Amino acid sequence: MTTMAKDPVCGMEVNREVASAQALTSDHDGDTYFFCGKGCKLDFDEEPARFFDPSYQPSM
Amino acid sequence: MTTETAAATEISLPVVGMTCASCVNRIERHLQRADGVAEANVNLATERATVRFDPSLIDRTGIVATIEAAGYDVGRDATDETTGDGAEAADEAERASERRELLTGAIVSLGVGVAMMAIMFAPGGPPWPMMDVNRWFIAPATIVQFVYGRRFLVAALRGARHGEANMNTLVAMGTLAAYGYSMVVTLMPDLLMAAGIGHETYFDSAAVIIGLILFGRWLEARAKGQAAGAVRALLKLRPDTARVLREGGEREVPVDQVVVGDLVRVRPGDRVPVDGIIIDGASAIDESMLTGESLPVEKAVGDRAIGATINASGSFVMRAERVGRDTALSQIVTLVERAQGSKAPIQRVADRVTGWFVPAVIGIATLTFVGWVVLGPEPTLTYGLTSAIAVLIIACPCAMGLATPTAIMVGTGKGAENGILIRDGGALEHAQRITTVVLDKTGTITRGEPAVTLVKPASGTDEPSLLRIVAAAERGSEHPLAEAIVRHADSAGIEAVEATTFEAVAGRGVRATVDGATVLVGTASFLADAGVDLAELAAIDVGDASPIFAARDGDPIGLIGLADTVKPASAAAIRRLQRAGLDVWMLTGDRRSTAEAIGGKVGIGPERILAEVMPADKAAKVEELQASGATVAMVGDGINDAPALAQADLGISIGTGADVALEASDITLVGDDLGAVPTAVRLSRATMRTIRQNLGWAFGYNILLIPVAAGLLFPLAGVLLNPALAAAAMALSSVSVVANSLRLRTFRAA
Repeated sequence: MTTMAKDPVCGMEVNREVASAQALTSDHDGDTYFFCGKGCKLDFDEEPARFFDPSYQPSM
Repeated sequence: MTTETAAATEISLPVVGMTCASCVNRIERHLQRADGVAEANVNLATERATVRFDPSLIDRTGIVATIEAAGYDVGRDATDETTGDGAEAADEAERASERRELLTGAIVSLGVGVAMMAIMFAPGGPPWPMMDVNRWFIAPATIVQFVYGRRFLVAALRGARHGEANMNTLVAMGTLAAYGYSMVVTLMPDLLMAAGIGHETYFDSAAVIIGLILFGRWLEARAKGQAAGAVRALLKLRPDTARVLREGGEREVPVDQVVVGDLVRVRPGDRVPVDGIIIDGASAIDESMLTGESLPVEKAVGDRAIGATINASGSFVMRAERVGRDTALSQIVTLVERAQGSKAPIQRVADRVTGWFVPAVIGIATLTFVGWVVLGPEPTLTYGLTSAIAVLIIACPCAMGLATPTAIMVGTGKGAENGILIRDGGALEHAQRITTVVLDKTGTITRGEPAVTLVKPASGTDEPSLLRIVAAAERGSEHPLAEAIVRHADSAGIEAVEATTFEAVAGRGVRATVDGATVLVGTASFLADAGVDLAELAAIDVGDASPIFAARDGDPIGLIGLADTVKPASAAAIRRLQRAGLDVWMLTGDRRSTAEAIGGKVGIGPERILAEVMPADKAAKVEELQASGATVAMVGDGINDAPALAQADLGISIGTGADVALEASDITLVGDDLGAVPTAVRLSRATMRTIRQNLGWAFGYNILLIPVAAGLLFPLAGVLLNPALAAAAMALSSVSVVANSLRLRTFRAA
């Protein structure tokens, strides 16, 4: 397992260990997603489907 | 109602926990949705939210609640920072009050003494009858003697109870003799008149003596404060808070609440709060306060970050490994404090001398008094008393007591500023006597890790493509050689590609798929066994480097040579040691040819290279050099060199701040730069020179002036030392000793 994961909301590379330590992770459909910060996690949790839409553009 | 906006108020709040543009959007979105908010601007870089709002609809609390509802915290403003360590502040306050007390005592006592002198020695004689004047003097003289001079009496009494005589004994005896005699003259004039003694009193002398010595103590206390400044400066480097990543996000906590294993975020400009390993991100860190090295050091994942250093550029997350007393900074502070409080062997000599010096002086004073009474001119008692008091005062070995500690404090403090941690005064003394310096090779003269020194593409390939393929294949490997190759490729700006498959063959090499081709990277036999023809590559002369061969789809594409490289500062440092008259040797377990190649680069001749020495035999080699008459300093990285470091007259360990191997060495260099070795030698020489000058001044002064004070010059030249003048001269000698020590503060690392 690589140490880095992609934040599905903002597109940033996120260190899994760092995200896990802050509970910045969400489980969705059996996969764990890692986030750079609270904003992304909260956005994701509110409406996960939005970020799996292929037309979704990360905000940075 | 159309153009009228409600009275708008603006506030700016610090927001904690933002990481990216999404966070900014989210907070702005939430704020703008809130009733009463006219405009919200959130800045990721400054971590602030600026909100314009209608105070009749929403207030600060409401805005904070909105931000918190969005998932973030509002931080404290920098203005309500609290100050640091209470114990330290109390300590400093106590020292400051002690200094104030000394200075007040000095000023009052000197004022009283000088006023008395002015009256007694007024031109044309005292304006009032001496008998009256004496009586007026009783009150101020008594106050000076027993209030401001109390510390000397108490200390002398305490010493006497243990059968000890020290400088306080001298001061107490001298001033009490002057005071007591004057009281008798004042209260029982008839008694002494009958013995042919006049009305002259010595209240003024006692006051001036006490004033001057208090002044000397004040100077000493001030010097101590300044010399201890290096330690306080180090302690001030410790940040108060750390940003810890815990359940629920990033939180700013007091640094003493950080525990081992915590993940801590360090942003640009922050001080690293504790010692740890970087697990995410990269940065350049300014470690100058620990190592003296002014250039920031590049750090990436896996590197160590040391508490109190300054994060200069990037943001990173580290895992806390050492906190509280275990951090490198705390260890350094402890070490410096211990050294400053320690006594050099030369100081123990000074203490022994003081031990017999004081009784001897009391003996001489008694002899002086008796001598004057028996042999001297009239009034014998006055002459005898005056001279005996002068002897007691002049001999006060205050300056002697200051000579060593002040120099050691300034010297070790100066060392700490330059990343040179001196264990104790003994280390300084050994350091200035060394004749020979033995340097470990690996990790001391050299970096101790391989670096790419040679890139040889086979015909038909060029350097960048060779590096690109090899780095891609090696990227998954944790072998030090592989890491060195990847590092080299990255710094050469080679495009990083990932291998699609990767397999490591222990001790031989790696097999990977890069760009769809099968790539082999490893030893010659690894490739030869796979049927690669290495005839062309094997003919290349790689010198001392270890060659790593590479092939793609069975065809050789080139070799990369790796070798341990010399640290940039090593050659210059060795030249400086040699110029300082030191015999410089290299000690290594490595092959002689490799050692000589390195020796050639740094200017150590083959005759001074001890190669192929097993770690266990290193101490024996040092012992051999010592047997041949050399006083040896051993410089090593403190792990396998520990026995040799202990065997040497002076053990110097070199390494990163977090790995300070304090116990086996006398001097620890915080940086890994060999340049600190000649600086350490120079500093120790300067410090010991200062101590010798100080002792010479203090002793010489006492020895020279005692006979004068006793009146030996009187029969020859009519010269007699007035007790007050003796006290002034003595205070001046204390001042010169302290000033001479403070001169060390101008010491500069070359």
